[in-house]
Amino acid sequence: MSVMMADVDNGDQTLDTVSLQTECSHFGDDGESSLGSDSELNGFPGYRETDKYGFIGGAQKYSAESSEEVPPAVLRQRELKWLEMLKDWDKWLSKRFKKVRLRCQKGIPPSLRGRAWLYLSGGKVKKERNSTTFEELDSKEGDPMWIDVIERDLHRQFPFHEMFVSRGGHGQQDLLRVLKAYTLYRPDEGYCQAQAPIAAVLLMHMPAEDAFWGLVQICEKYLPGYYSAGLEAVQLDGEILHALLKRVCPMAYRHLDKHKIEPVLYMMEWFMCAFSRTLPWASVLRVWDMFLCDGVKIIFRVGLVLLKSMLGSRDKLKACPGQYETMEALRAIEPKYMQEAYLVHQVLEMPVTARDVERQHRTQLKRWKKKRGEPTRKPPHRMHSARAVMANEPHTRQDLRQKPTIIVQYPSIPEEISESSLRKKRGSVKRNQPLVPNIPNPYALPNESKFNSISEIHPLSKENQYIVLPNPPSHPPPPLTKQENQVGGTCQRNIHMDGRTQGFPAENYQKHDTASTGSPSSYSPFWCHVFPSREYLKGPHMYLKYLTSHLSAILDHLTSPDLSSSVTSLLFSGFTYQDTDDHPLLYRHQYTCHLTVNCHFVHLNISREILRKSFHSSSSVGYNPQPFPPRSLSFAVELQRAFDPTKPRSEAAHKLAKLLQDSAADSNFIDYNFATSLGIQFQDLQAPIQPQHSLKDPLNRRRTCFRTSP
Amino acid sequence: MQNSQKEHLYKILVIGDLGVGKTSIIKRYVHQTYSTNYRATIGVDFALKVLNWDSDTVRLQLWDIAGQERFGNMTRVYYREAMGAFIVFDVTRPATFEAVTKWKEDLDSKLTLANGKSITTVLLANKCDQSKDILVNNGLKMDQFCQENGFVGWFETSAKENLNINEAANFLVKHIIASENDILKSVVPDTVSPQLTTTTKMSCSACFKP
Repeated sequence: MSVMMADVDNGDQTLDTVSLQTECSHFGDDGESSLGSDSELNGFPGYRETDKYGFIGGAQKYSAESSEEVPPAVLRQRELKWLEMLKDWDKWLSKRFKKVRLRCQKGIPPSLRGRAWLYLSGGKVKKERNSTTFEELDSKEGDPMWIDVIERDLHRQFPFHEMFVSRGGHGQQDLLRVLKAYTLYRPDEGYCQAQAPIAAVLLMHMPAEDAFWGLVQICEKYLPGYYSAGLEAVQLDGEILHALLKRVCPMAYRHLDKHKIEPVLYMMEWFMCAFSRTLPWASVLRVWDMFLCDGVKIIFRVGLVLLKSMLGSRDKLKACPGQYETMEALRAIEPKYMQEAYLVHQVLEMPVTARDVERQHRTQLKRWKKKRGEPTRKPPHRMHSARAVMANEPHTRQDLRQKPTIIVQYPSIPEEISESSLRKKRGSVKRNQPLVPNIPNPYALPNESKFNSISEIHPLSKENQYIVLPNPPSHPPPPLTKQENQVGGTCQRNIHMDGRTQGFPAENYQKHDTASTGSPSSYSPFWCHVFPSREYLKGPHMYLKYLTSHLSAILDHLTSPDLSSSVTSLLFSGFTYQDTDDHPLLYRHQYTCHLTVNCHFVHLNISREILRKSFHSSSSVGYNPQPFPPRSLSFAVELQRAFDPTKPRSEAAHKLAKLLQDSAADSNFIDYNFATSLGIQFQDLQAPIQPQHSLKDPLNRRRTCFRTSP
Repeated sequence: MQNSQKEHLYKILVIGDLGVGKTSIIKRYVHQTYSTNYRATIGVDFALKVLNWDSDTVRLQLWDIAGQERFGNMTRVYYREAMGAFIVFDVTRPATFEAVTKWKEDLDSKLTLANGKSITTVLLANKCDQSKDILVNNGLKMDQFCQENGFVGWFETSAKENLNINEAANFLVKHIIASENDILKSVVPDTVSPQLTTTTKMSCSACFKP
């Protein structure tokens, strides 16, 4: 299988993009081919250019004016800090919450945003404590009434985001799964249209299960009652907003009163979607960073900033002489007021605290009762910070433990036999690495001969060892079965390498492993490191190609029924790219992507920012020059055990076999949207990629997958 | 009253079940465009259309109201001061037609004109490009339905193919202007004039005398 590269530049015809095009011109210039049907269906002929957030158009697409650029060095620093915090999340929340808040206010680094949101919202704890819930809900049939409504909304959420652009694409499928699961989780609540954008934003950052728990937390802890029948809670918040405005900006308050503009005329979408449909995307992300940390007061503040900015002076009011003009002004906020830096600054300055919100809540509730009687529903009390959410939810440290994201080491092989047999197979071992057992690549490589030259995998070097694992894992993963060994022997080339490697960001996994609590068998990550040879370092498109080609191989291996360490989910993280020979400078890139292989399809979501950077930096002099070992392109894969590892392995194997059977899995699962979003075309697939089942068919919904022939 | 240059401003509601094409109709009517990429409406949205009506200018404020039942609680606020309405259904989905009477009732219960009458409402059978249909092929039946349910008329429309949308809007405006004159006659004492054609004159117009 190979992958076709198309033009990925974003329309800005800078020198480097031109050269990039030239460089990859031998891949052909076919803009349509395999994504034809998809794009036609959605009215986007030709290839689609995405911005760094994945938008291909629409008002929220990235623009340099609307966002701030964070220097890469600062970003790297922040990543480290966040990794540090996530490692001891409970301590940070309970003892150093101010610091956490400050860091949320500065913006969570994109590569860790998804994880941070899951932790902030308390979704992480919920998920760990209800580890089977999502799977159960996911496998159930939804109430046809809700399914019908949800399906009508699937293509209407961020239609300009590459993830959601394709009918029946993975974004829409996941959205359906998450929203359906919620209607089953809270049948009394059902589905509210405004939940779809919330779920969609989460899905842009995390796999479906995580997004589900994020949604649950937002609906129950951050904005309780917002989506319930009657929508009383959000209407009440409208009154609160109005009352707060009186203090913050009396002029706007009077103007709204004068023209009888009730809050529900302008704030429903703002609040119910947490501004995700209103602001430019950079600002949405920053608002959400703060919102998930500090709760609904952020939403109030943003609303107040917008009102104040648009209606806060005599001149501005002159432009809005009537009700309609005013509402029009509030619907089409001037971009300068939504600009990331301006907005965040204003929000932080806005003197509205959680206590103010609570006080107004009581006052307005009284008024409500007088005017309209007792509210029909009594939503739970809302939580005003991530800390409160956490304090409210019993949890253990175990629940907060990060699932490994970076692969650093193949499981050390406990049995001497395997060790020695593996040694025999090693073709060329790096000679100065005697202390660490050399470990074969557990993943079969693609068959094509050109991939043979990749066959270098690096065992942990000394340098890595200190970075990654101070000690070998104290609880080796389950020994390979005979079958596995055979698989290893036949499918894979032994891998070693001639350079040094460095996984990133490994810092948090070391402890994680050695400190993995009590039961060693409860956790057996599958470590691996794969290094491509130099031919994959010719340019970013090449490593994408490499990545995708490897994905299929990896997945192939993982979904093999013989492999009893059954895997349903992968997380890619910390992709490091380095090539000093082809380029005079040192570059270092990383990106995070989620890859969920639930045996049905693969969902890969790469931080576009990093990708974009890597494209553009190839000629941008001085980009983050950091000392970095040459010639290493490493990507780290984390494998998450599919099933509760404490259960008998036979059970897990059985389950996996069943799943595979269900999904008619033969070999390779490729994320179609991922590829197309990057402008990659699957050109020479032996079989066309197409959804196996229509989304309409509820019975087959879960089986829908995009498959390619090996 | 009959000055040569007049401006009319009408608030028009566009209501109906979720996904029947309310937003598409408005975008087609106001911006002459159609796309499959409209977002689901949450809460309410607006658009303004300016028409030249004889020698007058008519400004239509089109209010695009979220279709999900859940937002029904807010409709009272959204309906306020509207002069006309389109109730939209999707010809390919019978359930959305069944909901039409529900929407009409909701509208009538929450909003009446100054003369106590319900506002001018036109029924739109949207997405008619998609089905040569069952529901609508019987014009007589539809006429009867409209009469029984207080619609001034109905149109088969397609936002995608731009069918009948301008016609429906003009029809609605025509009726609004007519009913507006009606109101003026009935509620503004100074303008009471001999009425030869009106049969439904308010019996209590005297009450409004100072």
